[in-house]
Amino acid sequence: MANSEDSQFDDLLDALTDAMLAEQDDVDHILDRFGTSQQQTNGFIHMIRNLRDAFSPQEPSDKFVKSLKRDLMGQSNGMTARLRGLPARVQVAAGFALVAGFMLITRRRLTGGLSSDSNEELPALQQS
Amino acid sequence: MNIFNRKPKQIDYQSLSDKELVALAKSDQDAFGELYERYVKKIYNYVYYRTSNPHDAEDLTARVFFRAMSHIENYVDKGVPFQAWLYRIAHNLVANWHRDRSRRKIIPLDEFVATSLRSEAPDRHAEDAEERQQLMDTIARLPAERQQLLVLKFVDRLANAEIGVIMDRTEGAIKSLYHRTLIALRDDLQMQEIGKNRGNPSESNRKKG
Repeated sequence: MANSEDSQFDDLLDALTDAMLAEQDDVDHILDRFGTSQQQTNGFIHMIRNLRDAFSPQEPSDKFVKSLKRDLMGQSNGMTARLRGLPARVQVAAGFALVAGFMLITRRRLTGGLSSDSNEELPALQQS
Repeated sequence: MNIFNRKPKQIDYQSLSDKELVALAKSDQDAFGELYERYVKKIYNYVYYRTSNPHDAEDLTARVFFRAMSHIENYVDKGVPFQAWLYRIAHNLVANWHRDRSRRKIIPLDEFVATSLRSEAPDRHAEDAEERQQLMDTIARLPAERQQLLVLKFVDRLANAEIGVIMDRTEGAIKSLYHRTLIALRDDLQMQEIGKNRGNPSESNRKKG
């Protein structure tokens, strides 16, 4: 029995708080709904109103909010993240350029570059 | 499919839910940026009222988001939504901060009540402001979990169900804790009044004097 009364009072305080937070200071309809009076709420209404007024929202400075965002966003600005941000055609073009460049270098090393280098090096080796 | 004619994908982050943003944020920093915009003020307010000053609030808010960003890849919504996860990070950092400082939790009302006293110059407001100050001093003496509940309810304006997820309790338990918190506040305030009337003010009133 006591538990159900407690639970009902929990609900009453909750409803009063919700109303106060919604700036509805006239709470008579809530008291009626729970079959209670202002006197029976034992000063809770006044305290809830004071709590609402005392806990006024605080604004962080714009400078702080922007600077923190910049720091956060800068943190994950690695190469992969940057590439991901590029349009698809630029990503594909960059991929082709990389592969073509790699193939060109490899081809030069394996064919022309290697044979001419070895021919130039031979006399030098013989002289020494 | 002609990928060369494809335009870069434009995502309207603001229209996405937290859940969708979290999924994107694992690989897309702009999605995390949107989550940051949604919660930075709430987290700042929470931390502000659990610490002593705006500087510590800024420092801890920054740490909350850096920690969230570095762990978001591992975050899985197992009944704890992103908002609750963020508040839990904030709660842990605030708890560590208090532990490191080894001092009691002080709600920084001195500062803003003083400000409101200055701005609301007429005398009729002075009494209200003094009453509020007394209330906040009393809150500062409550256990940490009760302070946390009041801040989540009155500052961040969260519903009991949301507070329950953050504090790992049922909605009913939150209602009951709130009831007990109001009773404790009322009793403490009444004791202070009795002390005043007997000309034997409580410790907090002596401090103020």
